[in-house]
Amino acid sequence: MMLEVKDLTKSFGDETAVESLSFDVEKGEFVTLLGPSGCGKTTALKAVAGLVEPDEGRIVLRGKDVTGTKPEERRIGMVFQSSSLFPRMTVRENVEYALKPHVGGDTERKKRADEYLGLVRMTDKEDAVPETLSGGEARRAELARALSYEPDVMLLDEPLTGLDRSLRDELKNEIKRVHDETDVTTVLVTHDQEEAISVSDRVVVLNDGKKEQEGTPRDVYRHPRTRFVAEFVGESTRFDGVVEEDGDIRLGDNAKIRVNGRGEGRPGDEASVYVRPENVGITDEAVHDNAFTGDIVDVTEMGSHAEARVRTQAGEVLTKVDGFSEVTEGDEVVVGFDDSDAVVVSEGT
Amino acid sequence: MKRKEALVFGAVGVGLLAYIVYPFASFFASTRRSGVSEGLRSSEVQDALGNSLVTAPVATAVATVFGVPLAYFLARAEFRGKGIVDALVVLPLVLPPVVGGAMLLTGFGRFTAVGALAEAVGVPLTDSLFGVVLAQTFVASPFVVVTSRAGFSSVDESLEQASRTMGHGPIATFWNVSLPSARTAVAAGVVLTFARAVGEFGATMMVAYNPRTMPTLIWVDFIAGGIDGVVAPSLVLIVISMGVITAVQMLDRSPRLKE
Repeated sequence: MMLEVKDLTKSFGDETAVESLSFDVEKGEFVTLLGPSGCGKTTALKAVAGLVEPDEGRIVLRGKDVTGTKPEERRIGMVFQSSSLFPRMTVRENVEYALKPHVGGDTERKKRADEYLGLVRMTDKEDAVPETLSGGEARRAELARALSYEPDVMLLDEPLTGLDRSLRDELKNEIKRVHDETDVTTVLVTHDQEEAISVSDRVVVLNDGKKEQEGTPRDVYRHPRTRFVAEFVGESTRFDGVVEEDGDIRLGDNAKIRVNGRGEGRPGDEASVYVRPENVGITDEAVHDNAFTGDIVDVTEMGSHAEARVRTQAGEVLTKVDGFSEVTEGDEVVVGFDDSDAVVVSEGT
Repeated sequence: MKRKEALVFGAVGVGLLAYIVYPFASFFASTRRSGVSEGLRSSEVQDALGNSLVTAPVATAVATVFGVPLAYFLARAEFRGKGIVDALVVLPLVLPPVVGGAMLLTGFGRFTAVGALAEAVGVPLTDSLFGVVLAQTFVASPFVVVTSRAGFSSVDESLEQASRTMGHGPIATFWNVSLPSARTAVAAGVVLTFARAVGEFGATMMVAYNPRTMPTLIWVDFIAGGIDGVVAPSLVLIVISMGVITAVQMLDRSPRLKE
């Protein structure tokens, strides 16, 4: 195991930023700490880097407890939320400064800087000073700097924040490519669930300083285990009801959701059912396990697809349809989904 | 700001500007009748100028060597009683210099333990150039601390954190990242400290009336010969002060020193 975070707790005054957080990262793995602003993910990352001293818990790197050691003794690479390129150094000088404690000799440092500036395609900007770089170039230069001394773990603290959409997508792909090429163990912190899902091997979802769920992006997206994860990771329609004798969920007098008996708890206990919009189909007749007739109340075009809200007896249902399709507001349709696509979250989770 | 609005503020401010310019004009007018070149050639003026130009850089160096780390500490550290330390640092700035001089005498005077010990080893702390440096450092050091502190506070801490994660220790990080990033402010602080030190009078008079520095010479000459006697040494101090202002303005405009 490359990195083990064990029962990490950190408070600032009366505010608990991180509470009993544990997670592991295998060598070469890409793990993302995903959560809303203020959930403690940056504090956890800084504790791994040695920039924040934990109140309790341990940080183990390559099997060695480094909890009390200084940041400079940990061999960590870090890209910060705001640009941290040294303003008085050129891009190359930034990289060579990072190499100084690790690589002896000017020639060797120059060679290594060449290699990593090339990796992030910044060779032509090596003599530029940070203030002349675009947001994306600055991020790539920081990536080269943090990778150049081949750290054991690379920490990325919301590296795409503040960039426009196309640049964010480009850099996200760049980060993924660089990770695949270098196989560096990486921990990313983000509040963007799309970003987390698209680049990670594993996702740790945090809320209020605590771990809500951990798993592959597919697991976390398809099988959220708590209300928070179901609502924070991806869009979905939520149905609130109570568990019936047969384990299905009754929404009221007229509606019931079949979940193949997966409603946990005693009959009468409250439960919620979440369904992703892409799993809800618009059909002319009821071909799904769960089907409701309703009127389209809103269609939002996204280009590649559109999202339609359908008012039914079970409540408003969100569904994904083809972009610029024929459905329009006021159409009467049948929306449906299979019981296997319904995620049941029972009371108290 | 529109031209008309600017004129309103300018019209009010011009009163103060006139009040500042008027003494300069009258002073320079008086230099024609005061035998300035003769005064500048006098051995007293030259000795005092020499003393000022030796002691003020030393005081500035002492204030800088100890003050810049203190400024960095105050910019970065959080601790109980920080407000008291902040107040102590600024105190010499607001204290009347003669009071500062009196306080220095109670700590370093000839009849105190420290003063007697220093004199015994050949370093007299009063009525000596050492005494002048003591007085100048006490009065002028807040400039470098306060200005540098503001400079360090404006440096993004993530720059320093990045340096630490790369494997550089706190001293290397301070030297290579924090200090270069704050150097405009630090340099301005050093220049202002020098200006204050070279013009220091109140505390210096209490601690080291002799050997004379430029400000004490001006006072002594004024008492002995009235205003005509002080024109030449005053002119020297005015030139030094203008040099300081030019230096500060150049620092402010220098692209190499700017963030």
